[in-house]
Amino acid sequence: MEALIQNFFNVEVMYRARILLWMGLKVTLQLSAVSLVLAIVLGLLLASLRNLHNKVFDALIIIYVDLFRALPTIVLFMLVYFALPYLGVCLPAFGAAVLTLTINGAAYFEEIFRAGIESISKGQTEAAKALGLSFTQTMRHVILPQAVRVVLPPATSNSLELIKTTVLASVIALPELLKQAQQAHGLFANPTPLVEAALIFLLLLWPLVRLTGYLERKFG
Amino acid sequence: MKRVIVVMMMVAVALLLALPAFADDHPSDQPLRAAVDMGFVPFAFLTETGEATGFAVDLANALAEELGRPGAEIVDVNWSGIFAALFASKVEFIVAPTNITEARAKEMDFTEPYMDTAELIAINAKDRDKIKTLDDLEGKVIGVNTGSSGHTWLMENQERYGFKIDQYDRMPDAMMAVQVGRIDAGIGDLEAVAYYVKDKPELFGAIAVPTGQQYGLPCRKADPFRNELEQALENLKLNGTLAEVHEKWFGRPAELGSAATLVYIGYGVFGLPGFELTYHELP
Amino acid sequence: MEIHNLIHYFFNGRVFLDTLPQLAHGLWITVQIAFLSVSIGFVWGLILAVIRVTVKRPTNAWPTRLLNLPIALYVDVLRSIPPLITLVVIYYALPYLGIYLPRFWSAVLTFVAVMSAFAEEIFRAGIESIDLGQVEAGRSLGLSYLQMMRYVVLPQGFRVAIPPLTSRMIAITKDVSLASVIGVADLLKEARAAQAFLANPTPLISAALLFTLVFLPLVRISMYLERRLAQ
Repeated sequence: MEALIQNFFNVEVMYRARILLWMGLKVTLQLSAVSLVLAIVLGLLLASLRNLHNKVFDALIIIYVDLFRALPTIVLFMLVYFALPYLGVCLPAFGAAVLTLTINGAAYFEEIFRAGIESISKGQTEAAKALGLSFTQTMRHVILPQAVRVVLPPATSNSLELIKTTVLASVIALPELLKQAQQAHGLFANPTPLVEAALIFLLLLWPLVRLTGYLERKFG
Repeated sequence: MKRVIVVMMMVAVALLLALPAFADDHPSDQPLRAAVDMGFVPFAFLTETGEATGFAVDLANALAEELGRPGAEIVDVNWSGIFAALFASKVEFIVAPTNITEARAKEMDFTEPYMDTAELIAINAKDRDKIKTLDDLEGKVIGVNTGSSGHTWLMENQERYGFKIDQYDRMPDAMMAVQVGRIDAGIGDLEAVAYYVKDKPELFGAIAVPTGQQYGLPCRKADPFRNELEQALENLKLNGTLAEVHEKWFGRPAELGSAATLVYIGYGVFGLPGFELTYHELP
Repeated sequence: MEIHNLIHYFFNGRVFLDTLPQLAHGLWITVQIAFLSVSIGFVWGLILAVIRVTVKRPTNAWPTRLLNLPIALYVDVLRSIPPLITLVVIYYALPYLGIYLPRFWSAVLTFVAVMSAFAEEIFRAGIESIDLGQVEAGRSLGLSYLQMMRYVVLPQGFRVAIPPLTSRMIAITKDVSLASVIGVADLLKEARAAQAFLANPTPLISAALLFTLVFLPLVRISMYLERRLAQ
C-alpha cells in the first residue's frame, strides 16, 4: 500500500510534473476544440448531401461512413502520419491528428445528423407551409426543436468520445497530455504522472459524462 | 441550396490541394529538421520545464550551425516509426543515436560514424550476485526497445544463451519493468542505459556486451544531403565541438582514435552500401 | 512521388507475404482479447446494473441505497477516462500491488472493466425504461422480485439495450488495438514491429485492410440491429 502511494500518488512528483502536464493539456484542449468543430461541420455537410437523395452521393457517403467507422482510429492515425506523405500530403503531428479525428468523427456525426434530419417527417414541413409559416418560422418552431431533441444526446456522447480519442495522438508523438505524462514518467522514473493525467481527464470529462446521461434521459 | 453545397465542396477540394507537398527537402533557410525518440536519456529527453535537451539535441544544433541553418528543429517520433518518418521526408535526417548495420545501410545512407558504442544489460540490484555473465541469463526475460540494435543482438544470440525477449516501445519502459520486477533484465545502448541507471539504486548495469557498434546519422538513400551533413560532422570533429558535447553528457572525454575524434575517408561507412570513395577537401 | 515508389513502400507483395504469418498471429491475439473482454464485460455489467437497480429502490432504507455509490463511481470513472490511459495505468500499477499479470491479461482486465462500465449504464437505462405499470401488474400477480426481473423486466430491458450495446461492443473491439501500446503482440503491434525492422510501411497497410475486413460486417450488423429494434 505504501509502495502504491509512493509510486502512484506521489505528491512531489505530481508537483514537479505540472509544467509538462500543463503543456500537454493545452495541446489536448486545442486538438479537441479544432477537431470537434471540423468533424461536426463535415458531418453536417455529408448529412445534408445525403438529404439530396442523389444516388451517386449516397453511395460515396455510405462507403466513407462505413469505412471510417470500421477502421480502428489508432490505425487511421498511423496511416495519416506515416503513409499519406507518400501521396504528397505531409502533415506535422498536430495537423495529422486533426485530420484523423475529423475524418473519423465526421463519419459518426453524419449518421447522427442524418437520423435527426430524417426524424422530421415531410408531412410536418408541408403542414407548416400550408399553415402559412415562412421558412425561418418553420425552422425555428417545427424543425429545429425536434431535430435538436433527436440529435443532442448522441451528439454530446460522440463529442465526449472524440475528446477521449485525442490521447491516441500520443502514438504519433504529438505532445498532448498522455505523451507528456509518459515523458514525465520516464524523467522521474515514477508512474505518478500517468495517474495525474487520468485525474485531469476525469475532472475534465466527468461533467460531460453526466451531461450526456441527463440528455439521454430527457430526450431519449 | 444545391449550388451552395457544390461551391463548398469545390472550396474544400481546393484547400486540400493547397496543402504543402514536399517541395524542397532541404531548404537552406529553414531550421534543420532532425528526428529523435524523445525520452531516450541522455541523448534526447525533456526537462521538467518541457525543453528538449541531450547529446543528440546539442549535436543537431551544432550541425545546423555548421550548415548555416537557422537552428535545428527536433522532431519527436517513436523509435519504431523513425525510419518511416525519414523515408516519408518528415525529417531531413535522424539524429537519434542509430547503430550502423548492414541491413539498415541497404535502405538508407549513413554518414561516417560519430561515436563508438556497445550494449549494456541492466538488472535489478537484488540479482547482483546471481547474474554476472551472459550464461547466467539462461531462462531469464530480457526487455528491449522494439526495433533497436539491442533487439537484433538479442535475436541473434537467443539460441546461444537461452533467454526470452520482451518488447517495449521505449527504453525507459523496459528499464522500469526491471525496476518493478516484471522482467529480469533490460538491454540497451551502453551510454543510454548507464545514464539511466546512474541515479537508481534498484538498477545495476551488470554486463557490457562489446559489439563494436558505432552510431551514424541516417539520411535517405541517394540523397546528396548526406555528403553535406558528413562534411559538417567532420568539421565538428576537427574543431573539437563533438568531443566537447561528448564530455558534457558522458562525463569523460572521447578517447583519441574513437569515432568521435576520427575523420574517416570518403563519404559513408566503408564496406557498406552507400559508401563513396571520393576524396574531399577538409577546410 | 512516383507510383512504383508507392507500390514498393505500401503494396509490396514480397513484404506482405513475408509478414503474413506474424500478422495472422497478431490478428488471432486481437480477436481473443476482444472476445474475452466483451463477453465477460457484458456479463459483469449486467450484474452491476441489476445490483444497482435493486439497491436503489425507494423501498430500501438509505444505508442500502448508499451501496449505489461505489458502483456509480466505478462506472463514471471508467467512462470518463480514455481507455488508453486506463490501460497504461493498470499495466504499471498492478506490479506495485504485487500482481504480476502477463500483458495479455492486463489488457483483458482493462477492457472488461471499461466494457462493464458502459454495459452497466446501458442495461440500467433499459431496465429503468420499463413502464412502471408492468411492474405493478407483475406484483399484483404475485411474482417475487427475482421472478419479475427474470420474466418481465430483463427480457424487455434487453430489447432496449441491444442497439447501444452492440455499437459499444464494436467500439471496445476496435479499442483492443490500443493494447499494442503496452506491448501486447496484437495485429497492430506486429505490423509496427515488422514496419520498423523492414523499414517498409506495407505491414501497416495490410493491418488496416485486415481490420477493415473484420469490422465492416460487424458495423453493418450493428446498424441493422439498431434500425430494426429502435422503432
